[in-house]
Amino acid sequence: MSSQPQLLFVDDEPLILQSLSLLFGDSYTVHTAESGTDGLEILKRNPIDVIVSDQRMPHMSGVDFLRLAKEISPNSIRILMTGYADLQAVVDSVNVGEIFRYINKPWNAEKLKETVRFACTVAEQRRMMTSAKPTAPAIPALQHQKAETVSEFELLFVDSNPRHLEQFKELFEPKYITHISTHAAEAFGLIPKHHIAVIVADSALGEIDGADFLIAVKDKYPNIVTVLMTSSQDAKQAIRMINEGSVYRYLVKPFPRESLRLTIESAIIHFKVASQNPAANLKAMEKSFFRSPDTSARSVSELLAHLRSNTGAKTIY
Amino acid sequence: MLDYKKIKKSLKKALKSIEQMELLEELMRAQQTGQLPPHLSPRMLASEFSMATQQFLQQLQLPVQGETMHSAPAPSNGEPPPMGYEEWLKKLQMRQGGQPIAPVAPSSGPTAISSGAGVDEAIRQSEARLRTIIDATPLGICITNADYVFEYVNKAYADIYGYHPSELIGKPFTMIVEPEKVSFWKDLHDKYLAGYKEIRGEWNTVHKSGKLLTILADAARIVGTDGKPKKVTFVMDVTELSKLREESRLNEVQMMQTEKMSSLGQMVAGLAHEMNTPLGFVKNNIEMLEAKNKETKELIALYEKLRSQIMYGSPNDVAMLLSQIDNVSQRVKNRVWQESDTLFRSSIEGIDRIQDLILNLKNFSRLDEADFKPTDINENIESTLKIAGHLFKGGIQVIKEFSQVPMVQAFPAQMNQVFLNLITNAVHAVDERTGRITIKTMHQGNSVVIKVIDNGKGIPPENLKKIFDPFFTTKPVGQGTGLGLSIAYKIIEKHGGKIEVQSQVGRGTEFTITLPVSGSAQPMATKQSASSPVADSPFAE
Repeated sequence: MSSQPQLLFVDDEPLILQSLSLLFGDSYTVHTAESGTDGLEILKRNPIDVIVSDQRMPHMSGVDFLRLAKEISPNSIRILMTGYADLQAVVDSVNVGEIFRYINKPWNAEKLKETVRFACTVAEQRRMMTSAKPTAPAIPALQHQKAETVSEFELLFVDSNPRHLEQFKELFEPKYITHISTHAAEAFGLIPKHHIAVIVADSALGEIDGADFLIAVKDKYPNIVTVLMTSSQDAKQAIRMINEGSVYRYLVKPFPRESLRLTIESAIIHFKVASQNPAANLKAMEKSFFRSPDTSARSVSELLAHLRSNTGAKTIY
Repeated sequence: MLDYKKIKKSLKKALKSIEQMELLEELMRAQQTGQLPPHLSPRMLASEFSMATQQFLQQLQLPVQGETMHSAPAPSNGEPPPMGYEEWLKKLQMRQGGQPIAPVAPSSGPTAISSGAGVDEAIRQSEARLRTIIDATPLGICITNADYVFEYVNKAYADIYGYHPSELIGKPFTMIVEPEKVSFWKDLHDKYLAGYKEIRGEWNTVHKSGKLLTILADAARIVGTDGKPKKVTFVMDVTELSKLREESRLNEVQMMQTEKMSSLGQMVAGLAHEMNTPLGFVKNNIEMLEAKNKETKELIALYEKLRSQIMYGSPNDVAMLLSQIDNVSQRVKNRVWQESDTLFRSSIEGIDRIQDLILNLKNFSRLDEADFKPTDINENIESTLKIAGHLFKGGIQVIKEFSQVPMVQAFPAQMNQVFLNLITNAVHAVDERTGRITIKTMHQGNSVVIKVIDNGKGIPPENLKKIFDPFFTTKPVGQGTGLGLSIAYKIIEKHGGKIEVQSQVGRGTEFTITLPVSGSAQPMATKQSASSPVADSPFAE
């Protein structure tokens, strides 16, 4: 097979596939499929670096396809592309499809090329890591840890409602050391003092939006796994959390206690993998890939201002 | 945003009030179909009234205090048929105009009850029991005499007006009517006692606080223990209900709007996807061709340089330029260049597709057309199908069996709303792979018949009778307002047509719309303005 990175495009519209093939044909080996089912077949036979799939397709939706794709080829980077963002699809794409980017149609050719180029380098590194240590799966299956042992990993919950915070503490202590805070700025100050693996923030935090807070956290501490809880029905915010905040899970309130527990368990595993295997940490790689300048910004608000001034200049989705 | 919970709650409340009114109605009927004989005796009245009241109380599931005269008789003709509120009102109105009750003949019964001695013990007992029941009923009851004075009011009656019974008994009943209508009421009271007029219906009266009340009332004539005719009035406070009725009329308008917005929302989602897909490849193609165009321009610039170098430059310069040109032309001739014809073609096709969608959207909404006009049903279904096109992706088959049908007087945009609703429902009902939706149009007698038939999962019989009810939906929360079919029903009704449904679980569903050809429904304003000379005038006024 050729040494060019391999891409897979899945869309039920042949003219989209034609157009994308030509955009990438010069420097990549391009595979196309008009349905999720065909896409999975290609995935079984070829080492695909990056998958770009449409969401609205008959028989199998993009999210469903990407979920199955993740099982067949966990190292492939998944991108969802859609002509209409309905909230459910966006939320599922994070939580179920664990996608890297959510891109709206019509797309910008240059930005898409940059994004795919970056995704390919991540996929390449992931593959190298896995082949070097063939015993370690890229993303280990969720294991149940014994409840008696106190985990070395610490959690941080940020919510403006102290009653909620107490409930979270109750739910996760003593297994995890659980920090709580009602303010974004205060929470931000807690991070360097502890060994925090997962931060769960509510979107309504008062003066600073929870989504912004998590984006800032991810920028400053790319290793930390972030989870946003929200009751808003805003697809735009969810897309931003994927594309800018590399959010791990997007929980729409109200959710069952158990799903928060499972989210934390899998987030911890995700954190372990990411800290042992830099290629699994997309945000950290993204920062070095695009050489985004590190700032001396200390507080959340400073950092946010810095990030905002930067996003306009970004070539990446 | 519309608060569905609130609407549902108030509808439930209204429904409950209607149920109560039906109970009241039944009570009154029972009281009347006791066929109050012309020679009315207090004993008979007492027994009949107690039976009816008891029945009423039992249905309200209120504890009945004390013994009753008869073991409760079941309503003779089984359950009363469920009645819609409007139907109920219509009935009420009809009856109001109808048969007056036979006048009361001077009492010939055991009027001897009147004074102390020789009191019939049975009657006294019966009266005691009756009193107990009357005190417990939520129905307001009063007895007024020929001098317009309250001889008796029960607690419920006094409560309705905000008084204590003692504040009313012995006072003229005119204290609870509007001051300017006192003479009207007195007149009515006289006439009623004389036996001429039935007064069942809704009336306005006045609460102690001065607040206007709407009451539903019925009355009966009795002969009092003093031998004089009296009027017994049964009253129910329906102020809340009549407010609700007005509210629900407003809500209906709002609900129509919500459903429209909700189907619009779904349509926008579908259309956005339908348009963004071609936009996606058109934009991408053009961006690639733009890059290509830059390279081609570069190539032409080099060629022009080459021309002048051939004339005036050294062979070395020419050779250098040639190799530059080779390089650039190599770059130009990649796959995008090879496929450029296809790229242009498919871009134009994409733009055509978007244009087509926009045209159909315009056809569908009919924004630029007169509201009520001769409408070609086949054409409307066509444009609806195009708008709904994104739903048929996958294996869903659409079979059109259109016949020549005459024009129908209709609101095209509303017709489209109905068709879109039926088609969307059919798509949701069928299997994505084997689904088949047949749309038929036929000319039958003086009607145009439209059928939408699917081979989907069908509607269970218990749901079938509810599908036109507002808010009835089997779809998960957020996926359907439950208003679509109820609005379709209203629209077709407004057009003088009818909509029917047949369904078999596992086999499919068939909706049939019948529309009159010579529009029996001619919405008022439209016809008039068309014949107005101003409308025909070529001049702007």
